[in-house]
Amino acid sequence: MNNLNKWLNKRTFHHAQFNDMNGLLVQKQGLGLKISLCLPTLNEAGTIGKEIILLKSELMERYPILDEIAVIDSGSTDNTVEIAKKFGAKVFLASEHLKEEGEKRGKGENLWKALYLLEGDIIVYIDADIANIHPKFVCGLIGPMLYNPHIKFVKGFYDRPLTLSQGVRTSGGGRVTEILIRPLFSQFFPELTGIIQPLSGEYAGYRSILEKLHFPVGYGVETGMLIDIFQKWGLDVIAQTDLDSRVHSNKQTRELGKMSFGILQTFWNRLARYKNLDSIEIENYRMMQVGMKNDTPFVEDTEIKEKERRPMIEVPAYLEKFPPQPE
Amino acid sequence: MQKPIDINKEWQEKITSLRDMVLGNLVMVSQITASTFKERNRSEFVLQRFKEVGLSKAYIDESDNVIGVLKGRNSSRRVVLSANLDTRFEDDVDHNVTMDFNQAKGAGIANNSLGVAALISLPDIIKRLDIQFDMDIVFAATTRAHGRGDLDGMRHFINTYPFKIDFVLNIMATNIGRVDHFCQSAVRGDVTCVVEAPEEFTSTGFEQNNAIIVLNELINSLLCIPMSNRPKISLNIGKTRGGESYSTPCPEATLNLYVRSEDDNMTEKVIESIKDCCIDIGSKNGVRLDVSFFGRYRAAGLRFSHPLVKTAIKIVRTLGFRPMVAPSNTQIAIPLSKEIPSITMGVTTGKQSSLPNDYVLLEDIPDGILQLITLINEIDKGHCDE
Repeated sequence: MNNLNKWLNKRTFHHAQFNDMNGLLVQKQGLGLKISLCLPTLNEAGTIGKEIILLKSELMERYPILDEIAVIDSGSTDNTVEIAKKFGAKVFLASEHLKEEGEKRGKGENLWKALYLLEGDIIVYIDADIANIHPKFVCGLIGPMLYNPHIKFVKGFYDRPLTLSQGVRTSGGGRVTEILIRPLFSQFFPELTGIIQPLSGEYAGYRSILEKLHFPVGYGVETGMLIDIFQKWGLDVIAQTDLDSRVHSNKQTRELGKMSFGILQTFWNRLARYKNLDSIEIENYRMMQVGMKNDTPFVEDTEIKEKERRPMIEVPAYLEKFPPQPE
Repeated sequence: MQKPIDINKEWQEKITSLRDMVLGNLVMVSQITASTFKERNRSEFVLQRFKEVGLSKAYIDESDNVIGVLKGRNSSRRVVLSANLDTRFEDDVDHNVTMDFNQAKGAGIANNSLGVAALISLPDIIKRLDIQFDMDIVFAATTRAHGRGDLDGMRHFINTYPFKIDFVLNIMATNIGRVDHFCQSAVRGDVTCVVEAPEEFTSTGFEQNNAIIVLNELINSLLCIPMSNRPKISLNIGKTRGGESYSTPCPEATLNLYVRSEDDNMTEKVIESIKDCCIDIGSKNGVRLDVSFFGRYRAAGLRFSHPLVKTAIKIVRTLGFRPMVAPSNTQIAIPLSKEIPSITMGVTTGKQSSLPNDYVLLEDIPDGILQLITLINEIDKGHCDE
């Protein structure tokens, strides 16, 4: 517990610690790094335009902290792609790249392909549905890595109606985090319970780490990523930053049930991999939820099978584009 | 036929390429709440921008106005570029912006977040265009323009700025083409009706006075005040508020009204008539009807033939927009009352709304910026002097 508290004190930041843009820029240039921003999208026409315009004008033109902004789309049927192009982002349709790796769909797929499509040494992932977008979402994530060479992966957390303690929120995940993830972490990976919002969609990491991770393509991508980084490199390479508030649409409980179903698969998979619990075998990939139709209950079942991508570093096309560097 | 102004094509191209910078500032500004009297956070953001671009002596004054100066070659004259920081939306309204191909939407975006975004982008744009003016340009983001704010920010700035101001160019988000150069005589008024409940009983309320009904009587009485056509005068009953529930007689209600006229004496007469109506109706019903007037502006302005007005109109026309001349109730009332040549111009086409669905069109924004820089250049060359 003491170690966890030490980690919390040492590795929990606030975005305001990194609001000196010139300082960040100097630091980035001094380290000779390229930084890429990936916005994974699926029908985000309502918010994508202003996310791009704001982050591009503030973090590429005013302070060239970002070297590229790319939208990786899962096949939006609204105007997401057109708006993103109009406002000057690079736009990639996930299904059109690395076809030889087979077809998979999901947010994790976009994040995985970002490693191949983007150039940065650091990749920043930001969800495309943030209504109150601000440069802090990027600066707060890259700041800890630019100022501390030991930190390789930074996770964001946000305002939730929870008590504050000395400027740092003492808890504050969403419903799935508090009811599912944190209890599971407590039982099997207690060191990770200090991550305030393990499911947040805003994080950044060094390519050198991300390329060595398996990527669940669905709901489990954030959980899998955290466990894998912790298992391979330890807790000390992970940090988290308070990004204050993040305004986005709330999910229905029913949707959260499906999300939990996917995350659990990733979790059992990690237990098998790291805790030698080979006896766990999922018997059913259909999420059963009871609904009502004309006052009659019925069971709705949805197939949710979490697939995973192998580490990008094992993909030949990737190795050709990014030849392995000596350690 | 007036000779059109030469538009600098190089500037036009460069400004078009810098549009996203203005839009970035628009998102940043719009998302900081700034209801009247609570503009401080927005002021601090503007100050940060002024400092980043290297304006000299950038500071926030006692009224939370933000001032910064782009020094000219000889600083013997100065033009003030102003935009009001406050919006008509309370802090609990969602201030997040949406943006699609053609427009940006959000609370206060058309009054006056885009105006502020233009103001804070201009020093950067002028520097990137590599323009060096002879005169100083004073950038002033002012507070308290709306409602009870009563233009206090601009008033404080004009009354306390230590150097002579030669021109004021006020920036509003909408609409491009406007060249406001005069203000009518105007006053705003609030009437409050308070019904004291009888002490001895409160049962069904049948016997009690009702503030809404009293205000209704007052409105009927106000509508009987004679309004002349020449000089023109109008009384607008803009807003009423009051009541608690279906079953309770309304104990208190308010009425907001606005009088404007071409003639100061007419305005004074109407103010007196409104006061008389309040006393009459109040005593007749045995209730308190308090009236307070604020936002009193004297008729003032530039003639249409003033070179500043003429030049601004030429620029608007040359850029392909239709000039719009109408009486202004914006911030220029203050400098005009001090006989400082002042106009208000709009940055783009859009719509102001009391609901949080203001919008501005993105396409015209570069031309909106270009017209301002072109006009500053004309002022600098002395083409707007009388």
